[in-house]
Amino acid sequence: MRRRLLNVVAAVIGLAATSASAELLDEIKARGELTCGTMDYLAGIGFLDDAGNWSGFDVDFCKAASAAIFGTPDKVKFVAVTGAQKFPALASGEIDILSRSVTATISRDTTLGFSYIGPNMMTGQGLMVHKSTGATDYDQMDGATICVLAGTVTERYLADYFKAKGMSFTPVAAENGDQLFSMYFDNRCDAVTMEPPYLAIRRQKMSTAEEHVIFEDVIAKSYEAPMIREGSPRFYKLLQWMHYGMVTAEELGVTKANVDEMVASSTDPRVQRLLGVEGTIGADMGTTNDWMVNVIKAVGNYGEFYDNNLGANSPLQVPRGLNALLRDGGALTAPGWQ
Amino acid sequence: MTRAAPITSGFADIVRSQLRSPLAAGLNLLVLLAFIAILKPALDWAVFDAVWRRESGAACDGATGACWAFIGDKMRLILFGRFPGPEQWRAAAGTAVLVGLVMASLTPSCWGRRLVWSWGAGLILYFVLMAGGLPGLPKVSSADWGGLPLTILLTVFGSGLGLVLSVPVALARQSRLPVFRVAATVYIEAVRGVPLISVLFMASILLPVILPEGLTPGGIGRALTGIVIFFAAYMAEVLRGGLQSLPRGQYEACAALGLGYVATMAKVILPQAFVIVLPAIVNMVISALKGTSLVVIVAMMDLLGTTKAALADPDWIGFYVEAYVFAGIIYGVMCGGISWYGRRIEHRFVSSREHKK
Amino acid sequence: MRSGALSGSLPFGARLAGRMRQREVQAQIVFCVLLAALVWGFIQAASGIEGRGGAQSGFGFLREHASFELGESLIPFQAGDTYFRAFLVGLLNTVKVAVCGIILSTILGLVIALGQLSPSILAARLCRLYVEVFRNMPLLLQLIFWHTFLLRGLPAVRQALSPVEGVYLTNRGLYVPAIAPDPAYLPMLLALVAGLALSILLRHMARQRDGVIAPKWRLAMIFGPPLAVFLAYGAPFSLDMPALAGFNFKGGWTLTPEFAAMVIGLTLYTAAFNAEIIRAGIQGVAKGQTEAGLSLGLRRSQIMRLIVIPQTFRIITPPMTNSYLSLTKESSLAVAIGYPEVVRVANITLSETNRSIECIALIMIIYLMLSLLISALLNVVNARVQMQHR
Repeated sequence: MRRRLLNVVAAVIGLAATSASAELLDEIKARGELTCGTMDYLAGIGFLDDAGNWSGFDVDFCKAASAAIFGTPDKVKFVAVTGAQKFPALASGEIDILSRSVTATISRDTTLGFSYIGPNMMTGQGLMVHKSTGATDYDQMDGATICVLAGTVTERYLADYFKAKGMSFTPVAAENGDQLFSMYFDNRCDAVTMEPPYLAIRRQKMSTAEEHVIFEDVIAKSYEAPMIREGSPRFYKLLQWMHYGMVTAEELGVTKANVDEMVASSTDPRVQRLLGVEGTIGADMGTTNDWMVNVIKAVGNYGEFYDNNLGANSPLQVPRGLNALLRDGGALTAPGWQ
Repeated sequence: MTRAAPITSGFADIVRSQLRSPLAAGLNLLVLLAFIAILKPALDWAVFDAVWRRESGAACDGATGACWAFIGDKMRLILFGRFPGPEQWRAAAGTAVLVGLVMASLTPSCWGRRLVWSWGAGLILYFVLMAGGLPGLPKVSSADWGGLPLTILLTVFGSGLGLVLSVPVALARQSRLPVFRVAATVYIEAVRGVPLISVLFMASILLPVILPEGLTPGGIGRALTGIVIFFAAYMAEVLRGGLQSLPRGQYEACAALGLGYVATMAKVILPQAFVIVLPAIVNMVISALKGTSLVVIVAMMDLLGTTKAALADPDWIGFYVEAYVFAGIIYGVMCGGISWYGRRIEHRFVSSREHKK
Repeated sequence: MRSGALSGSLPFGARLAGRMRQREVQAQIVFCVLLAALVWGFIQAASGIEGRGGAQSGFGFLREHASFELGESLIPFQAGDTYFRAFLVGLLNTVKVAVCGIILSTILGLVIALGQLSPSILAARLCRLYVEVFRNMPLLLQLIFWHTFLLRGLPAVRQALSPVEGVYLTNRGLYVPAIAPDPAYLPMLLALVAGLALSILLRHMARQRDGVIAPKWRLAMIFGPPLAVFLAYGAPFSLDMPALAGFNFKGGWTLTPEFAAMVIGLTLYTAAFNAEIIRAGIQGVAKGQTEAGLSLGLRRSQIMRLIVIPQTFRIITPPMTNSYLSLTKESSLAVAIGYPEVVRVANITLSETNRSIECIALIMIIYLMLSLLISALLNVVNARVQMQHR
């Protein structure tokens, strides 16, 4: 009786261990739903409004992934995770994709056991400073009090930067973005550090916007990327090529508006391959051949995806910067879709 | 009260005695002066200079008093969080059912089989109202439960399930079997030695790591697990006190009647112990209610969380005093109400027990 | 049942007892097995998560270098120091806030308890109101309120309030002059310790001969040596004045708003509970004691000081111990307002290293140790208080 009980316990644990190692793409399809860890408080990135609608750049990535797998963008369950919860939530399998402005770094890639997609947003770490301090450059920031978001890589980069320059600063930590910026605007700190697009978002919401300067040149690279667990090569490739596909679509001029027309009438073989009119790339990857059509219908090509959430078509008006196509002077590019 | 007359003369006596002693007179004067000094600005702020209604976008610009218009504008968000607007009566009704059940359970005269049935029916009704999914009741994801209903949910289920778990733990702590006794002691002492926030972190971060995929509860379930684990240890200690205060004769009488361990505990010992420790349990419920506010640190939208969310609106910057006073009053009324109720029960039972002697 | 073979040869009672005992043993074994399985499953799951990237689990990471700053610290700390040192900073900050909270909440609690018992009805009612209001609101709400209040209510650095030269009050903290360190201070400290030891020794020796040393001699013994050293070094004394330099005040001694909010919140909240404990303790001293004092012709204040308070100590030490333990544990809520104590350090470390299990275990171990330490200390106090009651 005792032995039987032990067997049952061992079997349950064994089952859990084996199910964790299966290909995630098959598991997600069987489940019929994708779980996506994101944030719920930053408009333009990840935001949950009072009516329960999710929106933003990081949210749209998961909607695109849902479109790629299921054909529609609404098969996603969004989970708001905090800075401290994000990696445990991903590692434990609670979420399939972590799309929460996570900065890709070598240590996160190699020692944490995660793989990143993209990066799909290339930016850096800047500072926003009260104009009244008179500071216009990083070199004048010695001795400043700087608000940082707890549990982010910005905390670390800032310390690295000041140490390298032989300067000192006093950090004041906040648990979340709201607290961070309310402390900064209350003048608890001389400056607040984050990626310039987010600084712009927050400044734009204030009535005192002109009293703050943002240092646009950055102290560290911050290439942000959605992350997944290692060990599911097909899921990883699907998402990676979905990102490349969105970039390729912009290069080829395929948009949300003209995608149907392109499918019907484009004679460009590159467009035909991308949209699955020709070839079986999608089916070979474990989804449908028209998967990129679904993705583009859901969120558009990369340019639309960026502009609708952060850029020209959003209230935030964050310039494309590095995230413009290579031919437009940015750094965004993708391997060939052959 | 037939002896009303002595009370009025007592009042005069009190006033006279208050003036006779120099210490009392001095203190009274001091308190009175301080009271007047504070009362005027406080009333000005809270009532006379306050802005009560939102007429334009920037209703409270330049106002010197409280901006209650802010609370009015954000009332729905603070009380119900993201619970869908047209359905929020369901959250209110469900919570009322839950509160009613708890009040009945804290009244020993209601204890009985009927209460058990009421709990069964009430819980079904509660979850149907909250989660929906039936025709006419659209589904509401538990991720959208927030505000006061969430605070009450965590309090009621946290302390209720904690109490249920505390019974075997308290019995094990009293057991003569060493394995159970040691295990229960380690559990109780370990939990009582660490802060609630560490147990909540454990539940919210480690639970998905430890449990197999698919068995992990959602956000509310995890927070609840932490609260139950934490308060069960405290309640077990409370219950142990009750068990110890029962005279040995009770156990011996049961043994003489040939009752087994389970029957002895369930029918004789535990009911008596529960009555003895009821006031202490009511205090634990108050602690649990205040403790639920910590779930805000693991990113949940309880009453404190929705209050903070309301303050994050860039259209309404700087009305933190109003917001926290409002939330504080709600918490204060709830905790004060529970503690008043607890004193009433205690009074009734102590007097009835003394009457029997 | 395997006990069936025995049952025929024994009387019923013994059979029952034997069976019960056997069942009890079985139950305990099953429980142990289940517990072991649970622990084993936990370790499997944990190593499955952490081993995935080839990282070793365990507390070895504490020797690695942390790359974050912590803001305020009792010992020097900067990015590049080890995680172990970061946790030490967190522990010291926890202890700092807990000690301040314990002292202040005890004083305020005593005042409120005396107010409740005072002959003035208004004062008693006011103190009662205080207790009801402050203990019925969640501590976290109070802490967040005080933190916001200090940030919004106090002026920015450039508009600092300066009631006295050298004292500045801003929303980045209170800056006061500090005594500048001098080489004379270490010998002075040693002299103080030596004087203290001498006075204890002499008192002990005098006691054995049933004698006493006059308080003024004892004071002279304690404070004389450091004073002599101070004068011998030429009375070095200078103040380190805070001054606005660049962005912030530099120099002097700083009290940050996070620390202040923690101390204010913890003090006001815990004082409500302490007041109730002290009030119950004072009322618990038998009424006859007070009457005896009155019949001896003692004044009320004397009765309080000489009769009631010493006996109250005996009653309140155990519940006050619990209150102090709660306060120490509740200081962990500082994580919500960014005061760098243990939980905040663990939180940063957790997101830098993803060692969730180790970090949460560290929080728990540190608080368990603190709890045990406080219990042990107050047990000593308790034993002393009880012994004096001869």
